[in-house]
Amino acid sequence: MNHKSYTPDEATLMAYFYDELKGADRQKVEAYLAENPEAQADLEGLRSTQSIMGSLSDKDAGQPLILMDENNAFAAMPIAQTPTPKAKLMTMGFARTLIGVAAAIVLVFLMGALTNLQIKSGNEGLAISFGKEATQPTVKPKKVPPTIINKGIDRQEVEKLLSAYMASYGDSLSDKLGGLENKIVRQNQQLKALPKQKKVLASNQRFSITEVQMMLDNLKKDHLKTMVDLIRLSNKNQKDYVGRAIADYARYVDDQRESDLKNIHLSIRTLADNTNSKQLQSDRLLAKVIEKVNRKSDGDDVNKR
Amino acid sequence: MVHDEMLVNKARNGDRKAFNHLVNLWNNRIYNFAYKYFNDHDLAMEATQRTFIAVYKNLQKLEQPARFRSWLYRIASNNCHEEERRNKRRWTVSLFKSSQKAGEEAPPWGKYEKDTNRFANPDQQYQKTELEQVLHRALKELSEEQRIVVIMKEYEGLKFKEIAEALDISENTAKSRMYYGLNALRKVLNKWNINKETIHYES
Repeated sequence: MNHKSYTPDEATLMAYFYDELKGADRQKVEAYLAENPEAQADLEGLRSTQSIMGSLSDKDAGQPLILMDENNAFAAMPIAQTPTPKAKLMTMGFARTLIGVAAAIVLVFLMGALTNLQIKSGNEGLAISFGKEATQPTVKPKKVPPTIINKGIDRQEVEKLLSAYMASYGDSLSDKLGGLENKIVRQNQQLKALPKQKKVLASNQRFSITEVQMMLDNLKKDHLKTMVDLIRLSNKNQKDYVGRAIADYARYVDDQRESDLKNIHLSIRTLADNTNSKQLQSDRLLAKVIEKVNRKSDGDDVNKR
Repeated sequence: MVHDEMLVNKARNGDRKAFNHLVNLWNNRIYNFAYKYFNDHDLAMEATQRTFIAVYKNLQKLEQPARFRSWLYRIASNNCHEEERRNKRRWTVSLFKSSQKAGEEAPPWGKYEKDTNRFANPDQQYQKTELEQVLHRALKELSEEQRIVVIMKEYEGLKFKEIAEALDISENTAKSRMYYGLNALRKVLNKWNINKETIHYES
């Protein structure tokens, strides 16, 4: 082989210089360098420059950028993700207006309910009033003091509360029934006493037996009606009591659930933060180790050469 | 690099942790690439941040995750180029003397601040810092094209094939830029009388 005619170009020399030339090409360059001390010296000069430039060490970049969760307020980078349907809805102008109007209507109803707003339109015209109505309803259920269930009470306490409700209701019912019984007894006594008076009445006012019988029937009807009313009223009261108690219990359970969820969320978040920071530390360590290994292997390569 | 590929695939599927891992792994390298390009901490930080933001935005467009490294350096070099261009148009006057400008005296509070070798010989430390400043200046003497190739090859350890991919040039062009870049550095160092004998610092 005649290598004297072969002169590698700078690209080939660089490939050889950085050990990226293999096989026959490499041998050709080696043979060329062996026969050309000037070219060899030139490459040695470059090697020396490379060695001097190699003393430029790396600097520590410090804290890198971190991509945070979407719900985190301290997001370090913009998140180019497709918006969720909910987010999309919120960004639509029409939907936002609609939600605004709905919220305003709800607010008006709420204020109306709180201030007992009444709007009446009749023959006298339109009347708007606040506060309670002047005329009170004739039959008004007994007002029950509001029940306050603290967060701390458990299921047993609530059950106890329920039974207390029932007991108080039972007491009031039995009181009412007792009153009714007394009334009936009194009326029966009056009725028993009636035949004696009847004679007197018959003689004095000349009431016939049928008339007295009718009066008795009317009285009985009145009694029945009163009883039916009373039972209806008591049923309504009972429903109210139970409904209110169940609502209170449901609210209590909801509160408890919410606070539990908050606690769990907080714990998970803390755990995630800790894990993230540990991962970051380990990543940084890993990156340093990789760099050191690379540098070491580069150094070894240079030494070998 | 298999690790990179795996992380890239995960990040492409929306895994934020995988993306953060990638940033952690490459942040130091890209910063140092940019620092050697600018010899300026602020500009290097700016270019690094822009690079990772661009990576995040364009990760889906990366066709071959196996070529993540060259793709990353392509973005980094583009950002460095843009930052350089932007910086040339910018007229800034610092209220303080910048420690980053070559040839100016560094403030006493910042120069050795980040040096981890606290028990090293102060004389050696001083010489090392001086030498590093000189070498940074030597790099700045190169044309932008040569400088990028030299940094990618010498300090980032990329293969010529990867450099060619990153800069969108042929492999031979990359090699030839490297050759002329090294020769230019040799001339600059010779001119400044810097050689192995004049460097007393021992690593």
